[in-house]
Amino acid sequence: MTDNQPMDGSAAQRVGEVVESASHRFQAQCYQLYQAPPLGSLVSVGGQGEVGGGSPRVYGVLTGVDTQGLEPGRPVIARGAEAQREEDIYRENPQLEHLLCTRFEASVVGYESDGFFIHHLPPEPPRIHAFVHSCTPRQVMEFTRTPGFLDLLMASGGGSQAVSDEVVASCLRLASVHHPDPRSFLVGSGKVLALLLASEPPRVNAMLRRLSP
Amino acid sequence: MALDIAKTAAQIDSMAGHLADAKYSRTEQLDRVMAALASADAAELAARVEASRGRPFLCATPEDALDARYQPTVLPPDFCVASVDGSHIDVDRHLPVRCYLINIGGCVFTYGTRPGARLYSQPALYAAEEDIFLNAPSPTSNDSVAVQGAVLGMLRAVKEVEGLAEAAESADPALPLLALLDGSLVMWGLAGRGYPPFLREKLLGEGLLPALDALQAQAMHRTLVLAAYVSLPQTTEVVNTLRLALCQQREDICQQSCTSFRSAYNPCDSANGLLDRHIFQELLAPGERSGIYRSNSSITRDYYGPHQVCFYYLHTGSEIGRVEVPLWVAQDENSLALSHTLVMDQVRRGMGYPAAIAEAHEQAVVTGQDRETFRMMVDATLERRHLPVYTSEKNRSKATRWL
Repeated sequence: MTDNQPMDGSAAQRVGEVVESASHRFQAQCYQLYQAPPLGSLVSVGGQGEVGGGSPRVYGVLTGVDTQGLEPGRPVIARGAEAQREEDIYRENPQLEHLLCTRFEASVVGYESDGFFIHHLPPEPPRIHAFVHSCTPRQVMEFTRTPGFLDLLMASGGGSQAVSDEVVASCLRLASVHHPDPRSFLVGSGKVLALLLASEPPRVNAMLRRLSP
Repeated sequence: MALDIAKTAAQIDSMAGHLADAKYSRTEQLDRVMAALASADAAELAARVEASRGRPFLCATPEDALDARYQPTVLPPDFCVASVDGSHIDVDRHLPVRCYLINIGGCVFTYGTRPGARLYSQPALYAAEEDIFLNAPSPTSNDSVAVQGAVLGMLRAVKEVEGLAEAAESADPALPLLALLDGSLVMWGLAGRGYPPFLREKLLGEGLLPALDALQAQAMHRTLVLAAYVSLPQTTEVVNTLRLALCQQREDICQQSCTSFRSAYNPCDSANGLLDRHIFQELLAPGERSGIYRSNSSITRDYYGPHQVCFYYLHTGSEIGRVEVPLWVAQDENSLALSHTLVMDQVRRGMGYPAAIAEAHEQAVVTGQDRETFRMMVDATLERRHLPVYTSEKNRSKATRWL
């Protein structure tokens, strides 16, 4: 699915659809089981050309992925006592692909307006059923060119501090490869983190270690 | 005050005591009936069943040795299983409009080298005059039956078989297909309820039988077996056949003294209280099926034609299930074996209960919350159209539960 054309003209892959939405976070359901983008990756939601077009394209960073039964009243049970391989369970029970679903959660880190990336919360949250796309390398590079998004990402919380720091480090590592000089990008980002967490040197050190490729 | 649990618990304890007392005598009963099964000649017994229509109990006709046991065959490398189930919201006199809803849920599973699944549900709301009342076709008759309660249940069963025929058509025609229903193929609800003949014609002649015809027609062009699975069956048709084998009384005496449930004489009173599954629990090993029996229910015998219902019992490993098949499946050894093999495989995949039936049920189920939502939607929609909305004071009382 390549129906979302970013400004740079390259194709972004549609990875899911918003099922819960708030100003600072959204949750999306994947179209394919286990096909969530990587933790810490940048995704975009909505924007022009979709239902509700005219609302800005919102950017988020994946802060968590979970897979569970689609219906709350139907617990998932172990089925593989006699299976040789994990994939045999899915082969033997083809309905599982339809009854399980993978969802991911993203923290909103900015939006796009008049061709500019703005590292603030958007004026309105993504709409339910808005399509979520993975970002192209160009989008990632442009969006992370300045470190303003880190403020929102660090402030997003969600889960434990360790998980949150892991997401930030993962986001920076994934973004770095799309910059002309990845090492320089990581060093610059590390300095920003040191400023943001000036009162917590051990935490900064731990995060800097995580930034190493 | 709701149910008094303390008083109920004492009665449950008393009930369990009676069951424990009866257990020993049950074993002796079973031994005598199993001895009859081992010694009776199936052909002779079948002839006696045919000649004993006046007995107060319903016997099945054995089409095979009484102690026959069959193993499942080899599973085909690729095959499909389709199943359909239904659920309904009955006519509710507390609603401002007379209507009912039938939700048909189904699934088509493909197993083997290219596994896949299709799950779906299709609700249908009925509120038109011709849906609410089934009318006699004759212009001289104004006989009419309201569609609700048991009649709606039978209509839903018809829709399920129609849905199964459609689901079967969507399955890959190159692959063997098991078309599987939950429950019985026999429309027991029509038996002995005093319904007018036109209702039988509507439900069977214009409903169930054409749907079964459609499945049989598909089976002429592809490998298709139709089966219905009954979990924890309460049926006694085979026990009754053995009761007949044991009975030493004339039919007229039997008619006067015995009931459909109990025999008044020895030794056929050994069968009192036994179910078919008690017998096949003794006879069958896990995975095995019994021989074939033909149901002598007047509904199937008189009206089902080529779809007359036959059945076998299956030891699934966790229970004795009853598998019903139409005559056109029962008379074809390969189809019969395929039904056995695929039902057994479904039970294995479903951990004790056929996976496709369980999934069709999940797709069809209408929860209590769904029913409440439906009621509210009907109210809201009528209100929006400025149509009269009212409910009974009883319903209002239940909703408010004043102190």
